[in-house]
Amino acid sequence: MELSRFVTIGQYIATESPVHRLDPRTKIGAVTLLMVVIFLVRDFTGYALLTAFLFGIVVLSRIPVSHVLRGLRPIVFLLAVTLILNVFFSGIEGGQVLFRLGPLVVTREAVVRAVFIGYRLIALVVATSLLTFTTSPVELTDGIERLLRPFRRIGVPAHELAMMMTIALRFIPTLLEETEKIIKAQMARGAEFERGNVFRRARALVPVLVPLFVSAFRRAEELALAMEARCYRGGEKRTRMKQLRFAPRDAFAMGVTVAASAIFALPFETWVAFLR
Amino acid sequence: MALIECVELTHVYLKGTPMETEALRGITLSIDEGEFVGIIGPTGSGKSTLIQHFDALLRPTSGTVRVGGVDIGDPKTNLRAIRRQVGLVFQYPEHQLFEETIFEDVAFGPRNLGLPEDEVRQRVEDALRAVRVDPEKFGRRSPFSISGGEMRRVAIAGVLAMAPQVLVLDEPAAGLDPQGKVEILNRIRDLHRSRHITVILITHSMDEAAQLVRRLIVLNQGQVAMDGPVREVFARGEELTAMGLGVPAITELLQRLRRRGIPVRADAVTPDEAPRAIKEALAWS
Repeated sequence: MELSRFVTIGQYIATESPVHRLDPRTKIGAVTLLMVVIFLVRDFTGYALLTAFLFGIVVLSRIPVSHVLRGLRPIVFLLAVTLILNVFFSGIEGGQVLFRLGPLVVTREAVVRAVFIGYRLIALVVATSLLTFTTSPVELTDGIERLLRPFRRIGVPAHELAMMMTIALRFIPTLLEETEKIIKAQMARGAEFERGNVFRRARALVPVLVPLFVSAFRRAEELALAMEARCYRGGEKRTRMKQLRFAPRDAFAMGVTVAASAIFALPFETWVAFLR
Repeated sequence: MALIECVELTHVYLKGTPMETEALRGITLSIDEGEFVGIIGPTGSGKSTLIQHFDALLRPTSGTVRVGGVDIGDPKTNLRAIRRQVGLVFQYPEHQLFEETIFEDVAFGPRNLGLPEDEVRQRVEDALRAVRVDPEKFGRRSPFSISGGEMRRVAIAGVLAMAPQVLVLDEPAAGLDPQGKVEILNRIRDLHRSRHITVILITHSMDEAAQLVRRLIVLNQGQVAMDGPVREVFARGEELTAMGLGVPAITELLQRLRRRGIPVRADAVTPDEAPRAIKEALAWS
């Protein structure tokens, strides 16, 4: 039982690579751009190039490929459902019929679309988990706070949002550890979590959830107290220990991402026509 | 026959990920029925990982662990039977209380064993009495309405109610006030004496270890550094200090007296033994 083996989102892996050293704002910007591009790509060439690009970043970041792929495990079910629904219930009229299954008609177009949608989900998870793998939670929220700052004028509580995110991210591993410990303690008292029907299984979670909530509230109180003891007060005029600074490498990384995005997003034919 | 037996037990956490850590490295030991064993070791030495193998909550990465002759690494092993035999009390067990009343919380274990209701009641009452919590007075109260020390005892009762042959406790006295500590440790000693159950106790306090256990296992960096009678282990004070551990306060005192030229026997480990050693040295007796 090792929950952190399955939940890789929000994990930071300090492998010290060129990707790690980038400014968090650059990485957030680049990932946002890539997420848009993932939805704009319309042909296989684009997806092949995008895959190669993402793979390149993974290699550059020195995060083991196997670990990145492990992050896909939680979405396997979602992926399967998406694929099945899109293949069988695409609602695409006409098109080239591949086969029939009773009243269901499977067309070539539906399969292609299902594959695209599935691929998009995978690419989204890979791109975003690359961000959290290579950016420490503190850097990440610093970056978000800085990016949200212009919106403060219209009432967006940038600092408070960033602080909430920092705390949430900080406590994911802690709560996972806690959950694991409580599960083990109840198993030691003979609890079983994998037996019986849905209702029995749901009931079996009570001995885990109650202590988990109790401890989460206890932690929240302790943290609030600790912050107050250090005279913490919102965002006004706070200085920070680590100043974010753009470096030439950030410009380079952003440039490469923008150029790559343009190449992926435009259909292959457009490029062919353009180059002629 | 040994009740618990580890042979070349190795455990690696998160194997095959970037966070892989080797917690246990080739542990070989055996614990007999009726023993009272202490496990000490610096933080991160693998104590908690080791005891989780005793209750089949973790399986060895390599090597074998046998509990009552049954190999816990064997996929066909009935883990529930092992957990019925071994009662494991985690650190801060009061953090695992969840029921509405103390009675119900202690009854969780015996009910999971599928016992009839009147036996459950009997076991809960016995277990609560064994930790000196009055079932009449406290049974219907919420476990969240009592003091920390009482919560700790109720949580331990929750494990005792399963009537284990082996009781494994991970720092049962941590974070309690001095009286709460004495209370808990005395209850554990009583259980060992009256019910003849095997007790395995993790502790950070050398004094606790000296007063309670007969045999001490010292873990360091996932390996057994020492294993023997308390007195022999504490005679190796310098090695223990090098690991970030120490010797009981009283042993320390006697060793200092020796260094000052007073010829006391320095092998006393409890305050009860010290006066005699000092009297002997001063030829008062």
